[in-house]
Amino acid sequence: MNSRDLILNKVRQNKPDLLPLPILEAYPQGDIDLTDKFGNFLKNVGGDIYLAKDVQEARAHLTQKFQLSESIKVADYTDTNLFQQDPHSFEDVFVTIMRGQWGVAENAAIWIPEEYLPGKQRVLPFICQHLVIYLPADALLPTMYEAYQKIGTQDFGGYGVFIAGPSKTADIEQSLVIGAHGPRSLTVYLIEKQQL
Amino acid sequence: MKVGLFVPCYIDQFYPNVGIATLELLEKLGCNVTFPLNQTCCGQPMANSGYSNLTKGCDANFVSNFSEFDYIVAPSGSCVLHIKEHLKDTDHPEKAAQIRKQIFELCEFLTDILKINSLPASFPHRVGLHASCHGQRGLHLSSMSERNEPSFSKPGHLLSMVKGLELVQAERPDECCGFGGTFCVFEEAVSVKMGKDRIEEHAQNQVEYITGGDTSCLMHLEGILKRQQSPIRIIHIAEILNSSISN
Amino acid sequence: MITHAKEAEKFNKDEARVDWHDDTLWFVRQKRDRMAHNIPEWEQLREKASQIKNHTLSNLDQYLVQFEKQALANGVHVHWAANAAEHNQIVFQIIQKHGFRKIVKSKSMLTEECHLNEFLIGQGIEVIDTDLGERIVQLRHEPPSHIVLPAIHLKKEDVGETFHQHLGTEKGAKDPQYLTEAARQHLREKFIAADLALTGVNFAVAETGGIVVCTNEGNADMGAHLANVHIACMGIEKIIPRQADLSVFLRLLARSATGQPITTYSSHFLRPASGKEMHIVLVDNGRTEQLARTDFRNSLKCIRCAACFNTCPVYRRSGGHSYHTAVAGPIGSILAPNIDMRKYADLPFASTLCGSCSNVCPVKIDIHDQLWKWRQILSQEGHTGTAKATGMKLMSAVLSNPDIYRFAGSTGRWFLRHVPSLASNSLNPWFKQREMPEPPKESFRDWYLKNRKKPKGE
Ligand code: SF4
Repeated sequence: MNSRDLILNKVRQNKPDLLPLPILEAYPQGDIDLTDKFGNFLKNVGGDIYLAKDVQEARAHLTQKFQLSESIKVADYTDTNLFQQDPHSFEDVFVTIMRGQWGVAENAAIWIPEEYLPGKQRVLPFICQHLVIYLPADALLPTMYEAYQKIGTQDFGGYGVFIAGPSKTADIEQSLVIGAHGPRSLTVYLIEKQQL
Repeated sequence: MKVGLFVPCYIDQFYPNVGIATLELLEKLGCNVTFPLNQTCCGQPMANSGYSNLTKGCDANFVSNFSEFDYIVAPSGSCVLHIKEHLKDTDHPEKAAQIRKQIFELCEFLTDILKINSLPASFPHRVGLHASCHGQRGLHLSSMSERNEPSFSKPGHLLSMVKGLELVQAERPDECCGFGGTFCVFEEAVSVKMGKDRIEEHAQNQVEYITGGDTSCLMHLEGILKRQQSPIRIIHIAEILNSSISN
Repeated sequence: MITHAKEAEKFNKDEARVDWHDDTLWFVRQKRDRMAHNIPEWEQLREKASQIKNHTLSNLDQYLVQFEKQALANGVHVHWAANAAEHNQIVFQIIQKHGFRKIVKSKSMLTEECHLNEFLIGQGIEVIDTDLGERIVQLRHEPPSHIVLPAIHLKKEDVGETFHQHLGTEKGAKDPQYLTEAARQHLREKFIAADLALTGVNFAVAETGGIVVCTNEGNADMGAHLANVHIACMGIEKIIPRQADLSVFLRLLARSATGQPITTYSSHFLRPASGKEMHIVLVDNGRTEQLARTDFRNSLKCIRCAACFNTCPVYRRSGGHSYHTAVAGPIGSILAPNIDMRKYADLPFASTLCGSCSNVCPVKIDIHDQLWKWRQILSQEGHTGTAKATGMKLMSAVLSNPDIYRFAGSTGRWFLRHVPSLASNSLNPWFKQREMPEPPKESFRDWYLKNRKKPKGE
């Protein structure tokens, strides 16, 4: 018998009688301001947050913030040339700019389905030195429960990720260091006008 | 109300004053208390060491001593928990089941059954409370720091009725002292270190006494305190609750 | 034979270091408490998580089949391994098929359990652990001491010395920021050069065939998205039925583990990127046996958050290595005897049964009750030594008989003074650092007879 059947047989033999699968439910979060809560959690996990009335305003702000110039490599979600490239070629990307679909107020996690990644390049939010996410201001949800209700079992591409803050580690004596392998910073622009 | 007093073996042999205080306190509060003379031990030392198959004798003896009461009360959360969870008697299963329901640790008996709101006790000292795990997490005598639940403490509530007593909370209110039955000898190094750390927190609070509901934990802490020649003394909560004004 | 007690005693030789270890982990426990206490529905979430896992275990065969079907439809290769050796062979064959030499790994306790690194390195493969903590212990040729914080037993000075030797950082440098930066540069090269990335799995969703991997550093993603081939290794108990179940588990996992509201990255891998290859290895290695043990099967609910480690007063004061198994701590002590009762017979006794572990466990495993139950099995199967068995029999004989008990008590209370150590071979260890109470003149019973005893019926 191959290992697959062996394992499945043993599971069948050894498992307990069927127990019910519980129904998932929302838990009332009270009267909270989603933007406040999201913003506070984002700051707590090491991110920056700005309100921008539109993408242009956000872009102008981040150009300043990161002192962007011709010589600095940026991977932008509007750039259609990114699709065919070898992921290794992004090694020197300084800033990745992309959109987020949903933001979760209870933990500042932002849901990014594959199609939101610049050029559908999965490595881009990780390999860059700094990450910028545009998030529609009305895309905030209270908890992960609501987030998964939105995500559903829809096909989010071959890959999707919740990102909450810049990459970090506390593996040396529990001292928090921002910028482990991934980005050293995360900047989120809450975009007021629904135009993403 | 017919109350059977269970005085666990360690208390009987080393801390008779704890048994006396418990008896006097219950009598003061109007209970008709009897101490069945042929009691020995709840069987926990064997069971927690992996030898629950050797507790039949203790179990049978316990059942024969304690099947005649409305309530059984013991000044030890640990022994009470053991009886509640593990007392078995194949000859008299109904008696064992009855006892498991009737047995109470002293503090919970006072707060939940007698529902006392005042005590004629006085103990003008600075006191730290050691929440023994079996009473704490097993019998749920207090809210547990790990859980998201409203805070309460049955022993704390009782101590608040004692005149002059100043209760100071340790930084980690319900960390284990490291006694743990035979753990205290098989894992001597960790056991003692845990005890020392509990003591250190109470010492920082400059308490005169460490009290609690379990003599075994207190004996372990006392053993370390004495070796350290510390001025801090241990005292069972029954002794405080029974202390009179003259004290 | 290595035992927890002996290793713990060594660990306790340096008391200041024990204090430091204890405080560091207590700090994590406190962060966890703050998170748990700020979610009003916390206890309900734990219950929900527990029910989902209980249900899954009761229907595990069907969910495994469903998961496999979906994963295959997603273009993912699925493999089954009955034990550690087969798991290692499967991974090695994938590497060999491509002629690869360099692999990067993100954290996977399963591969620790299977000793994959040693095996692959023995086959001439370069295996680089990329989680910072794991890289640190890998450079030191040590196993991780904690499943979430692998290098928690080390001080920054130790890490500084290791990095000085291996990565050329300045001698004596110990600033975590500086050391982390050095590791970042070093590991970036490894990510770029790697042919294959191996990751663990936190959750595998039966209804989608997808897997979810949680990290803070981003190392799983860096590896998986750069390399041509991604292998994800998982124990068969990682399955959950529905994608939406993730909402329950992701709310609990990081809060329980490190006191973060969520890990920085929760990556959902469904299909390989175009032109790439993805494999999932489903591993049994004793899990189906644990499933058969009624008293212990629910240990398979574990989501490896390590909250039970951080809260355990014994773990904090003995260190992970004293457990001499890949998964240490309270949960390790109930998993290990399933694999090898003789070798791990000491672990269920490395606990005071204080119960704190069961209280923090986000999936409500009755850890301390299972420790108690293992003790019964281990002693019945003769794994606890003859001295202990003899001592226990003597103790039982005395305590079962009121007459013998009273006689023993009357002889200077010798018996009870020596009760705990009757079961041990050595001189009474009680007295090493403690005193015994002075034996009182009379027992409580003696006092009672004098002061209260009335003839029956009065
Ligand atoms: S047993 Fe519970 S607390 Fe311990 S690691 Fe597993 S899930 Fe976490």
